[in-house]
Amino acid sequence: MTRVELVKLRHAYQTRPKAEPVVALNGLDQVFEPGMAHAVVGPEGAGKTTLMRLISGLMAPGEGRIFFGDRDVTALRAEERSIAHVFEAPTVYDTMTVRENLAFPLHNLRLAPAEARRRVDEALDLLDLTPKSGGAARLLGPEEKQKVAIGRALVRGPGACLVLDEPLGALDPGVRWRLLARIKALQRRLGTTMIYATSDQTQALSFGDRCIVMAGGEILQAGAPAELLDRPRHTFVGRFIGSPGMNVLPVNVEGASAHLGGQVIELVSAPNLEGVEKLELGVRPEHVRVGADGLAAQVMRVENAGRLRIVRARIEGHDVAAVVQDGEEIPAEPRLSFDPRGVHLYADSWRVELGAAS
Amino acid sequence: MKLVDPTTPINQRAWFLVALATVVLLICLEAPLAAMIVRSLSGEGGFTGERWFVDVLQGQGFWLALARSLGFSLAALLIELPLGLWIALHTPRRGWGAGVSLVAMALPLMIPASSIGLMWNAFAVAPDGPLGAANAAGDPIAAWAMLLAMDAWRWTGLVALLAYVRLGDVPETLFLTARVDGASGWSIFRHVQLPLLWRTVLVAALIRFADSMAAYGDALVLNGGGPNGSTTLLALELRRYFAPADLGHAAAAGLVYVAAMLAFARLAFSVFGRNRESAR
Repeated sequence: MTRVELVKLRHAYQTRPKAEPVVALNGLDQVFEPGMAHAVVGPEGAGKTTLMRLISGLMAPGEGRIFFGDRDVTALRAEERSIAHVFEAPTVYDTMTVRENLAFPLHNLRLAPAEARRRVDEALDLLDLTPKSGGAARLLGPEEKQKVAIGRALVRGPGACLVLDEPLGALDPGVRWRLLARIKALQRRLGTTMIYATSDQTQALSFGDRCIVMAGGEILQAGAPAELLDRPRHTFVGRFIGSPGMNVLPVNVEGASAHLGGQVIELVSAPNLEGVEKLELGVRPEHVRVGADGLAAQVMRVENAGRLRIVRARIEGHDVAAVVQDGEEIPAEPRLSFDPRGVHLYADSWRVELGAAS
Repeated sequence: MKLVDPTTPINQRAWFLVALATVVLLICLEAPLAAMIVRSLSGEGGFTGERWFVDVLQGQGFWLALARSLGFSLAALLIELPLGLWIALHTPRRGWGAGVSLVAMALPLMIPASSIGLMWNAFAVAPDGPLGAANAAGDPIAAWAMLLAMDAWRWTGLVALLAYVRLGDVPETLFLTARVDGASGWSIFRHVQLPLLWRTVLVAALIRFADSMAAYGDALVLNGGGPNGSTTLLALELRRYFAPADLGHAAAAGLVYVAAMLAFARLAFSVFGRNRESAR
């Protein structure tokens, strides 16, 4: 179980000799607690892969330091870090058997053959790969190849950290959830510190004990999945996490009232908004009620999402989504109201604390 | 197992197209060989039977030349395969270095054989050339060393190019994975790269073996097979059998040569093929 800590981590790519470097990571400070499942989630280009490769030691950071426990590993190469890296493309040693694939890291560590054998057997068993252990790894399907890649981490014991960079990207949707559940179960059982990068918020929320939301090379919020859903710190987090994402509406605030066009939404308290340029109201679709009172809205369409229905409406020209339970009536002339507990105010995209009731 | 419904008549017309292609292929590939076979069985007086073959197989020159050629080929392979692999593994994959390296590898392959002869003659044989003092025309050891140097200079780039292309097909993540798994440079080469390159090495070895067994021009321009016939390779030996009245002798020698090459190729395939299985 390894604690991974990033201190002021910054990295930029020099794309062409004289061009301005492209910043991929802009000063990250983050602690990955030991023995937990961490999900790093963000859109393409957020810097996830750069971060994963810096943690693995496949690249050296431009600035900042990386600690594994108390050990400063910034200058250490990948092979010195006791880490395993699972790539999006299922990667196995084609010319080796499944067993030889798992034994390779131990062979490189010069571990005693009996101990190596015991650990490989254990990992094969955990991954249900024992029946295929003698077969050529190149003949496996993508799911099993990823299992072999994970197995190369498991043989190192629980002290190793496992970095997974979009590990389900190359798999069929049906297989994805099966493997995700498997990885999660292994994490629970072995207590390995895992850092899992994905652009799919559903994967992140179901994998992570803690989710770290990244965009544009910065960490916008880190916390338990429930925190990201209940109190998004940044409008981007609100929109990116959750399906459908949070509604974000431009407002003007006077005292404890937010004005959206001609309509008024009461806030739980009057915020201090000195020097703020942009004010927005955020409310998750789960906190929007469709009924007889509230704000006048036009319903554009209603989508069926299993037991729920998603109402796509417009208020004063702004799109608003609302979640309606199956069987709940949608009135002929609906009005939308916001549950005050789910209303967040954002000043220049960052959440403003509105007091106890929020 | 019947995949075809027996009641459906099979359309046999496609055979016509296949037959046409087969005939063209046979004419192109085998007609010269057939002409050679006819030659090898005949002489001035008509049909001569096995006479020319007996002449070839009983003559000492043929066997000595064959042994020299085999030695030359093996030595060339031992130099060019490791060197070519080493170059391929150390050639940059990106940036301007990659382009320059590729051109450098391919350059010797683009020079016509006659110019190469001229070049090396001026470089190494002419007494006032930089390597003239080695006396490649008179000293057998210097002649062999020079011959191998010429061959390596010209063909190592081909081995390197083949290996370079193969390595380019391997996803970067494989090498990154090997690094994370703690493999040292040698371990990556031995356990990851070499097994992947095995096929390429086999193909390169076969190409180079066939080429070097048939090597002709280099030894000819260097010293014409001397000194004292010490560099008379098989192809140079065969040339000595040519005589206007004596084409049957040369044809028979050529056929023996082809048969020997086929046997070597068969042997190489079975040996290399087995190694590759066990490498898995």
